[in-house]
Amino acid sequence: MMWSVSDEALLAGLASGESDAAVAFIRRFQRRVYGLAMTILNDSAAAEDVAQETLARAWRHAGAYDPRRGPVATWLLTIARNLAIDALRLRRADPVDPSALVSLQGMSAEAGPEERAVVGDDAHRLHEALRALPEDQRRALVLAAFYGQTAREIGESENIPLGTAKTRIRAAMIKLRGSLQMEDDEREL
Amino acid sequence: MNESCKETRELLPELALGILGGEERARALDHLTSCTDCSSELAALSRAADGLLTLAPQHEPPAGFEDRVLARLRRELPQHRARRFMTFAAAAALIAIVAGGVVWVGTAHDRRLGSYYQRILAIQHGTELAAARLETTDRLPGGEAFTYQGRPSWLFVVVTAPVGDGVYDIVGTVHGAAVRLGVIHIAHGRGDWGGTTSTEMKSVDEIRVVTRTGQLVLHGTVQHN
Repeated sequence: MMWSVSDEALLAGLASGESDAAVAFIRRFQRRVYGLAMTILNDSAAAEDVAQETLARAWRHAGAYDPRRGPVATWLLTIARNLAIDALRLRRADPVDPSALVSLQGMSAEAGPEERAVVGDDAHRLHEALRALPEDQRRALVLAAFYGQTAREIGESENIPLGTAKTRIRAAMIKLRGSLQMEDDEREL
Repeated sequence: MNESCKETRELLPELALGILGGEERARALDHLTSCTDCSSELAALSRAADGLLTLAPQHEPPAGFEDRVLARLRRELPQHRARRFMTFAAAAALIAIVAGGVVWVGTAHDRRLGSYYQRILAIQHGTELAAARLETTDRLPGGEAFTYQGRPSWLFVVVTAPVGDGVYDIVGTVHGAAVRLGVIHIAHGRGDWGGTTSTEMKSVDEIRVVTRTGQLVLHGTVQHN
Protein backbone atom coordinates (compact mmCIF):
# COMPACT_ATOMS: atom_id res chain seq x y z
CA MET A 1 0.00 0.00 0.00
CA MET A 2 2.92 2.29 0.86
CA TRP A 3 4.03 2.17 -2.76
CA SER A 4 0.83 3.67 -4.11
CA VAL A 5 0.43 6.59 -1.70
CA SER A 6 0.99 10.15 -2.88
CA ASP A 7 4.35 11.85 -2.41
CA GLU A 8 2.83 14.22 0.15
CA ALA A 9 1.33 11.39 2.19
CA LEU A 10 4.62 9.53 2.07
CA LEU A 11 6.43 12.61 3.34
CA ALA A 12 3.88 13.00 6.14
CA GLY A 13 4.51 9.33 7.03
CA LEU A 14 8.24 10.04 7.03
CA ALA A 15 7.65 13.01 9.36
CA SER A 16 5.73 10.86 11.82
CA GLY A 17 8.60 8.36 11.96
CA GLU A 18 7.01 5.37 10.20
CA SER A 19 9.88 3.12 9.11
CA ASP A 20 7.93 1.74 6.13
CA ALA A 21 7.48 5.30 4.93
CA ALA A 22 11.23 5.94 5.19
CA VAL A 23 12.03 2.91 3.02
CA ALA A 24 9.34 3.78 0.47
CA PHE A 25 10.47 7.41 0.41
CA ILE A 26 14.11 6.49 -0.22
CA ARG A 27 13.18 4.03 -2.98
CA ARG A 28 10.90 6.51 -4.67
CA PHE A 29 13.37 9.39 -4.82
CA GLN A 30 16.88 7.93 -4.62
CA ARG A 31 17.46 7.77 -8.38
CA ARG A 32 16.45 11.40 -8.85
CA VAL A 33 18.41 12.72 -5.88
CA TYR A 34 21.55 10.70 -6.59
CA GLY A 35 21.20 11.43 -10.32
CA LEU A 36 21.11 15.18 -9.77
CA ALA A 37 24.05 15.08 -7.34
CA MET A 38 26.02 12.95 -9.81
CA THR A 39 25.14 15.33 -12.66
CA ILE A 40 26.49 18.30 -10.72
CA LEU A 41 29.49 16.66 -9.04
CA ASN A 42 30.49 13.86 -11.45
CA ASP A 43 32.00 11.96 -8.50
CA SER A 44 30.14 8.95 -7.08
CA ALA A 45 31.44 9.23 -3.49
CA ALA A 46 30.66 12.95 -3.28
CA ALA A 47 27.28 12.40 -4.95
CA GLU A 48 26.39 9.70 -2.41
CA ASP A 49 27.29 12.03 0.48
CA VAL A 50 25.00 14.69 -0.97
CA ALA A 51 22.18 12.20 -1.67
CA GLN A 52 22.38 10.78 1.87
CA GLU A 53 22.36 14.23 3.43
CA THR A 54 19.43 15.30 1.22
CA LEU A 55 17.29 12.36 2.35
CA ALA A 56 18.31 12.87 5.99
CA ARG A 57 17.32 16.54 5.77
CA ALA A 58 14.00 15.65 4.16
CA TRP A 59 13.39 13.29 7.09
CA ARG A 60 14.38 15.91 9.67
CA HIS A 61 12.40 18.73 8.06
CA ALA A 62 9.45 16.85 6.55
CA GLY A 63 7.08 18.83 8.77
CA ALA A 64 8.27 22.09 7.22
CA TYR A 65 7.40 21.07 3.65
CA ASP A 66 4.77 23.40 2.21
CA PRO A 67 2.83 21.73 -0.65
CA ARG A 68 1.75 25.12 -2.01
CA ARG A 69 5.33 25.89 -2.96
CA GLY A 70 5.68 22.92 -5.31
CA PRO A 71 5.79 19.14 -5.57
CA VAL A 72 7.78 17.00 -3.10
CA ALA A 73 10.24 15.98 -5.85
CA THR A 74 11.07 19.61 -6.58
CA TRP A 75 11.50 20.44 -2.89
CA LEU A 76 13.83 17.49 -2.46
CA LEU A 77 15.84 18.34 -5.58
CA THR A 78 16.39 21.96 -4.54
CA ILE A 79 17.86 20.62 -1.26
CA ALA A 80 20.11 18.27 -3.27
CA ARG A 81 21.12 21.02 -5.68
CA ASN A 82 22.12 23.41 -2.88
CA LEU A 83 24.14 20.73 -1.08
CA ALA A 84 25.85 19.68 -4.32
CA ILE A 85 26.75 23.29 -5.16
CA ASP A 86 28.22 23.73 -1.66
CA ALA A 87 30.32 20.60 -2.24
CA LEU A 88 31.32 21.88 -5.67
CA ARG A 89 32.50 25.20 -4.27
CA LEU A 90 34.81 23.36 -1.87
CA ARG A 91 36.72 21.82 -4.75
CA ARG A 92 37.30 24.85 -6.92
CA ALA A 93 40.30 23.27 -8.61
CA ASP A 94 38.12 20.80 -10.47
CA PRO A 95 35.89 22.90 -12.78
CA VAL A 96 32.56 21.61 -14.02
CA ASP A 97 31.94 20.47 -17.56
CA PRO A 98 28.36 21.41 -18.42
CA SER A 99 28.54 20.17 -22.02
CA ALA A 100 26.52 16.98 -21.45
CA LEU A 101 23.68 18.89 -19.81
CA VAL A 102 23.81 21.70 -22.37
CA SER A 103 23.42 19.16 -25.16
CA LEU A 104 20.51 17.70 -23.13
CA GLN A 105 22.17 14.27 -22.78
CA GLY A 106 20.20 12.07 -20.43
CA MET A 107 17.70 14.87 -19.73
CA SER A 108 14.24 13.49 -19.46
CA ALA A 109 10.76 14.44 -18.38
CA GLU A 110 9.87 10.80 -17.70
CA ALA A 111 9.06 9.48 -14.24
CA GLY A 112 11.15 6.63 -12.82
CA PRO A 113 9.80 3.10 -12.20
CA GLU A 114 8.97 3.67 -8.49
CA GLU A 115 7.37 7.00 -9.11
CA ARG A 116 3.91 8.15 -9.81
CA ALA A 117 3.72 11.20 -12.06
CA VAL A 118 5.66 13.16 -9.46
CA VAL A 119 6.61 16.08 -11.61
CA GLY A 120 3.52 16.40 -13.76
CA ASP A 121 3.18 18.38 -16.95
CA ASP A 122 5.71 21.03 -15.96
CA ALA A 123 8.63 18.72 -16.75
CA HIS A 124 7.42 18.05 -20.28
CA ARG A 125 6.85 21.73 -20.99
CA LEU A 126 10.19 22.73 -19.54
CA HIS A 127 11.98 20.01 -21.47
CA GLU A 128 10.50 21.27 -24.73
CA ALA A 129 11.23 24.91 -23.89
CA LEU A 130 14.83 24.05 -22.94
CA ARG A 131 15.32 22.18 -26.21
CA ALA A 132 14.02 25.19 -28.17
CA LEU A 133 16.46 27.67 -26.56
CA PRO A 134 19.44 28.99 -28.55
CA GLU A 135 22.53 27.14 -27.32
CA ASP A 136 24.19 30.19 -25.71
CA GLN A 137 21.08 30.85 -23.60
CA ARG A 138 20.73 27.17 -22.69
CA ARG A 139 24.35 27.07 -21.63
CA ALA A 140 24.00 30.15 -19.40
CA LEU A 141 20.83 28.72 -17.88
CA VAL A 142 22.37 25.29 -17.18
CA LEU A 143 25.41 26.90 -15.52
CA ALA A 144 23.11 28.97 -13.30
CA ALA A 145 20.35 26.44 -12.52
CA PHE A 146 22.47 23.32 -11.98
CA TYR A 147 25.90 24.63 -11.04
CA GLY A 148 24.84 27.75 -9.14
CA GLN A 149 27.11 30.02 -11.17
CA THR A 150 26.38 33.73 -10.85
CA ALA A 151 26.06 35.99 -13.89
CA ARG A 152 29.58 37.29 -13.16
CA GLU A 153 31.02 33.74 -13.04
CA ILE A 154 29.22 32.83 -16.26
CA GLY A 155 30.60 35.99 -17.88
CA GLU A 156 34.11 34.97 -16.87
CA SER A 157 33.87 31.32 -17.85
CA GLU A 158 32.12 32.09 -21.16
CA ASN A 159 34.33 35.09 -21.84
CA ILE A 160 31.39 37.44 -22.36
CA PRO A 161 30.51 40.78 -20.69
CA LEU A 162 28.45 40.63 -17.46
CA GLY A 163 25.53 42.37 -19.19
CA THR A 164 25.43 39.71 -21.91
CA ALA A 165 25.46 36.90 -19.30
CA LYS A 166 22.55 38.53 -17.47
CA THR A 167 20.62 39.00 -20.73
CA ARG A 168 21.06 35.34 -21.71
CA ILE A 169 19.89 34.11 -18.30
CA ARG A 170 16.91 36.44 -18.33
CA ALA A 171 15.86 35.59 -21.90
CA ALA A 172 16.06 31.85 -21.16
CA MET A 173 14.08 32.13 -17.93
CA ILE A 174 11.35 34.23 -19.52
CA LYS A 175 10.88 31.59 -22.24
CA LEU A 176 10.71 28.77 -19.68
CA ARG A 177 8.27 30.68 -17.52
CA GLY A 178 6.19 31.39 -20.63
CA SER A 179 5.99 27.69 -21.46
CA LEU A 180 4.39 26.99 -18.06
CA GLN A 181 2.05 29.94 -18.39
CA MET A 182 0.86 28.55 -21.73
CA GLU A 183 0.08 25.27 -20.00
CA ASP A 184 -1.94 27.03 -17.30
CA ASP A 185 -3.87 29.02 -19.92
CA GLU A 186 -4.71 25.84 -21.83
CA ARG A 187 -5.95 24.22 -18.64
CA GLU A 188 -8.32 27.10 -18.02
CA LEU A 189 -9.89 26.87 -21.49
CA MET B 1 4.20 48.88 -13.01
CA ASN B 2 6.38 51.59 -11.46
CA GLU B 3 10.14 52.16 -11.79
CA SER B 4 10.87 50.02 -8.75
CA CYS B 5 8.90 47.13 -10.31
CA LYS B 6 10.76 47.49 -13.61
CA GLU B 7 14.10 47.41 -11.86
CA THR B 8 13.09 44.39 -9.77
CA ARG B 9 11.75 42.45 -12.79
CA GLU B 10 15.24 42.59 -14.31
CA LEU B 11 16.61 40.84 -11.22
CA LEU B 12 13.87 38.24 -10.67
CA PRO B 13 15.22 35.54 -13.05
CA GLU B 14 18.54 35.45 -11.19
CA LEU B 15 16.76 35.58 -7.83
CA ALA B 16 14.58 32.61 -8.84
CA LEU B 17 17.71 30.67 -9.81
CA GLY B 18 19.28 31.44 -6.42
CA ILE B 19 22.31 33.14 -7.97
CA LEU B 20 21.60 36.77 -7.07
CA GLY B 21 23.79 38.09 -4.29
CA GLY B 22 24.65 41.09 -2.18
CA GLU B 23 23.09 44.44 -2.73
CA GLU B 24 20.97 43.45 -5.76
CA ARG B 25 19.38 40.60 -3.82
CA ALA B 26 18.65 42.86 -0.84
CA ARG B 27 17.07 45.46 -3.13
CA ALA B 28 14.86 42.88 -4.87
CA LEU B 29 13.74 41.30 -1.59
CA ASP B 30 12.96 44.72 -0.15
CA HIS B 31 10.67 45.51 -3.11
CA LEU B 32 9.00 42.07 -2.95
CA THR B 33 7.81 42.57 0.62
CA SER B 34 5.35 45.19 -0.61
CA CYS B 35 4.58 44.16 -4.22
CA THR B 36 2.23 41.25 -4.84
CA ASP B 37 2.57 41.45 -8.65
CA CYS B 38 6.34 41.02 -8.54
CA SER B 39 5.95 38.28 -5.90
CA SER B 40 3.64 36.35 -8.27
CA GLU B 41 6.17 36.81 -11.06
CA LEU B 42 8.91 35.45 -8.79
CA ALA B 43 6.73 32.45 -7.91
CA ALA B 44 6.22 31.70 -11.63
CA LEU B 45 9.94 32.01 -12.38
CA SER B 46 10.85 29.87 -9.35
CA ARG B 47 8.48 27.16 -10.55
CA ALA B 48 10.40 27.10 -13.84
CA ALA B 49 13.84 27.23 -12.19
CA ASP B 50 13.05 24.48 -9.66
CA GLY B 51 11.21 22.41 -12.25
CA LEU B 52 14.38 22.26 -14.35
CA LEU B 53 15.99 20.10 -11.67
CA THR B 54 13.46 17.35 -12.30
CA LEU B 55 14.88 16.97 -15.82
CA ALA B 56 18.33 15.93 -14.58
CA PRO B 57 19.35 12.41 -15.61
CA GLN B 58 18.29 9.80 -13.05
CA HIS B 59 20.96 7.46 -11.84
CA GLU B 60 20.89 4.25 -9.77
CA PRO B 61 22.89 4.87 -6.57
CA PRO B 62 25.73 2.46 -5.63
CA ALA B 63 24.76 -0.91 -4.08
CA GLY B 64 23.83 -0.65 -0.40
CA PHE B 65 22.77 3.00 -0.63
CA GLU B 66 19.32 2.39 0.86
CA ASP B 67 20.79 0.51 3.86
CA ARG B 68 23.34 3.24 4.47
CA VAL B 69 20.67 5.96 4.46
CA LEU B 70 18.44 3.94 6.81
CA ALA B 71 21.39 3.30 9.15
CA ARG B 72 22.07 7.02 9.18
CA LEU B 73 18.44 7.84 10.01
CA ARG B 74 18.55 5.28 12.82
CA ARG B 75 21.70 6.91 14.22
CA GLU B 76 19.96 10.28 14.26
CA LEU B 77 16.72 8.81 15.61
CA PRO B 78 17.32 9.15 19.38
CA GLN B 79 17.75 12.92 19.08
CA HIS B 80 14.83 13.27 16.67
CA ARG B 81 12.61 11.08 18.84
CA ALA B 82 13.58 12.95 21.99
CA ARG B 83 12.27 16.18 20.51
CA ARG B 84 9.06 14.53 19.38
CA PHE B 85 8.68 12.70 22.67
CA MET B 86 8.88 15.92 24.65
CA THR B 87 6.05 17.34 22.59
CA PHE B 88 3.88 14.28 22.93
CA ALA B 89 4.60 13.84 26.63
CA ALA B 90 3.57 17.41 27.23
CA ALA B 91 0.53 16.90 25.02
CA ALA B 92 -0.48 13.85 27.02
CA ALA B 93 -0.21 15.85 30.24
CA LEU B 94 -2.23 18.60 28.66
CA ILE B 95 -4.96 16.25 27.56
CA ALA B 96 -5.21 14.97 31.13
CA ILE B 97 -5.56 18.53 32.32
CA VAL B 98 -8.17 19.50 29.78
CA ALA B 99 -10.14 16.37 30.53
CA GLY B 100 -10.03 17.40 34.19
CA GLY B 101 -10.71 21.02 33.31
CA VAL B 102 -14.45 20.73 33.66
CA VAL B 103 -14.03 19.47 37.22
CA TRP B 104 -11.50 22.19 37.91
CA VAL B 105 -13.92 24.94 36.88
CA GLY B 106 -16.83 23.30 38.67
CA THR B 107 -14.97 22.88 41.94
CA ALA B 108 -12.76 25.94 42.02
CA HIS B 109 -11.88 25.28 45.63
CA ASP B 110 -9.97 22.18 44.59
CA ARG B 111 -6.49 23.57 45.20
CA ARG B 112 -4.81 20.28 44.57
CA LEU B 113 -5.88 20.28 40.94
CA GLY B 114 -4.99 23.98 40.65
CA SER B 115 -1.46 23.40 41.85
CA TYR B 116 -1.16 20.36 39.57
CA TYR B 117 -2.10 22.61 36.66
CA GLN B 118 0.54 25.15 37.75
CA ARG B 119 3.20 22.45 37.93
CA ILE B 120 2.34 21.15 34.46
CA LEU B 121 2.53 24.66 33.04
CA ALA B 122 5.93 25.21 34.64
CA ILE B 123 7.46 22.26 32.78
CA GLN B 124 7.87 24.39 29.66
CA HIS B 125 7.61 27.89 31.19
CA GLY B 126 3.97 27.96 30.20
CA THR B 127 1.30 30.52 30.90
CA GLU B 128 -1.69 28.82 29.34
CA LEU B 129 -3.10 25.52 28.20
CA ALA B 130 -6.15 25.79 26.01
CA ALA B 131 -8.30 23.55 23.83
CA ALA B 132 -10.72 23.66 20.95
CA ARG B 133 -13.31 21.11 19.93
CA LEU B 134 -13.13 20.69 16.18
CA GLU B 135 -16.31 20.42 14.15
CA THR B 136 -16.99 19.60 10.54
CA THR B 137 -18.79 22.18 8.39
CA ASP B 138 -21.96 20.13 9.14
CA ARG B 139 -21.30 20.74 12.86
CA LEU B 140 -20.44 17.12 13.55
CA PRO B 141 -17.68 16.38 16.10
CA GLY B 142 -14.34 16.13 14.27
CA GLY B 143 -11.59 16.01 16.88
CA GLU B 144 -9.72 18.29 19.26
CA ALA B 145 -6.89 20.80 19.22
CA PHE B 146 -4.76 21.55 22.28
CA THR B 147 -2.61 24.65 22.50
CA TYR B 148 0.19 25.53 24.89
CA GLN B 149 1.64 28.99 25.42
CA GLY B 150 5.16 28.58 26.72
CA ARG B 151 8.78 28.29 25.71
CA PRO B 152 8.40 26.72 23.28
CA SER B 153 4.71 27.05 22.49
CA TRP B 154 3.12 24.09 20.80
CA LEU B 155 0.00 22.64 19.30
CA PHE B 156 -1.42 19.14 19.23
CA VAL B 157 -4.30 18.24 16.94
CA VAL B 158 -6.27 15.00 16.87
CA VAL B 159 -8.73 14.42 14.04
CA THR B 160 -11.46 11.80 14.04
CA ALA B 161 -13.77 12.82 11.24
CA PRO B 162 -15.17 11.31 8.06
CA VAL B 163 -12.98 13.37 5.73
CA GLY B 164 -11.08 12.13 2.68
CA ASP B 165 -7.59 10.62 2.98
CA GLY B 166 -4.89 13.15 2.33
CA VAL B 167 -2.67 15.89 3.62
CA TYR B 168 -4.29 18.96 5.16
CA ASP B 169 -2.99 22.24 6.54
CA ILE B 170 -3.57 23.24 10.16
CA VAL B 171 -4.21 26.97 10.23
CA GLY B 172 -4.63 29.29 13.21
CA THR B 173 -6.49 32.59 13.21
CA VAL B 174 -4.51 35.31 14.99
CA HIS B 175 -6.26 38.69 15.21
CA GLY B 176 -8.21 37.82 12.05
CA ALA B 177 -5.15 36.71 10.05
CA ALA B 178 -4.49 33.10 9.02
CA VAL B 179 -1.21 31.54 10.16
CA ARG B 180 -0.13 28.10 8.97
CA LEU B 181 0.82 26.02 11.99
CA GLY B 182 1.36 22.49 10.68
CA VAL B 183 0.45 19.71 8.31
CA ILE B 184 -1.71 16.71 9.17
CA HIS B 185 -2.01 13.43 7.33
CA ILE B 186 -5.51 11.99 7.61
CA ALA B 187 -6.18 8.38 6.64
CA HIS B 188 -9.37 6.41 7.24
CA GLY B 189 -10.85 9.40 9.08
CA ARG B 190 -8.03 9.62 11.61
CA GLY B 191 -4.91 11.69 11.97
CA ASP B 192 -2.82 13.56 14.51
CA TRP B 193 -0.13 16.16 14.48
CA GLY B 194 1.91 17.83 17.17
CA GLY B 195 4.73 20.31 16.99
CA THR B 196 6.31 23.38 18.45
CA THR B 197 5.59 26.77 16.92
CA SER B 198 6.84 30.34 17.13
CA THR B 199 3.24 31.57 16.89
CA GLU B 200 1.83 33.01 20.13
CA MET B 201 -0.69 30.29 20.95
CA LYS B 202 -2.52 32.50 23.45
CA SER B 203 -3.40 34.79 20.49
CA VAL B 204 -4.86 31.99 18.36
CA ASP B 205 -8.65 32.37 18.43
CA GLU B 206 -9.58 29.59 16.06
CA ILE B 207 -7.98 26.42 14.70
CA ARG B 208 -8.93 25.29 11.22
CA VAL B 209 -8.04 22.21 9.18
CA VAL B 210 -8.13 23.04 5.47
CA THR B 211 -7.39 21.25 2.20
CA ARG B 212 -4.35 22.16 0.14
CA THR B 213 -6.56 24.46 -1.89
CA GLY B 214 -7.74 26.22 1.26
CA GLN B 215 -11.19 24.63 1.58
CA LEU B 216 -12.39 24.44 5.18
CA VAL B 217 -12.82 20.91 6.54
CA LEU B 218 -12.79 21.32 10.34
CA HIS B 219 -12.74 24.26 12.68
CA GLY B 220 -13.01 25.09 16.35
CA THR B 221 -12.84 28.09 18.67
CA VAL B 222 -10.00 28.01 21.19
CA GLN B 223 -11.32 28.32 24.73
CA HIS B 224 -8.77 30.59 26.42
CA ASN B 225 -8.54 31.26 30.18
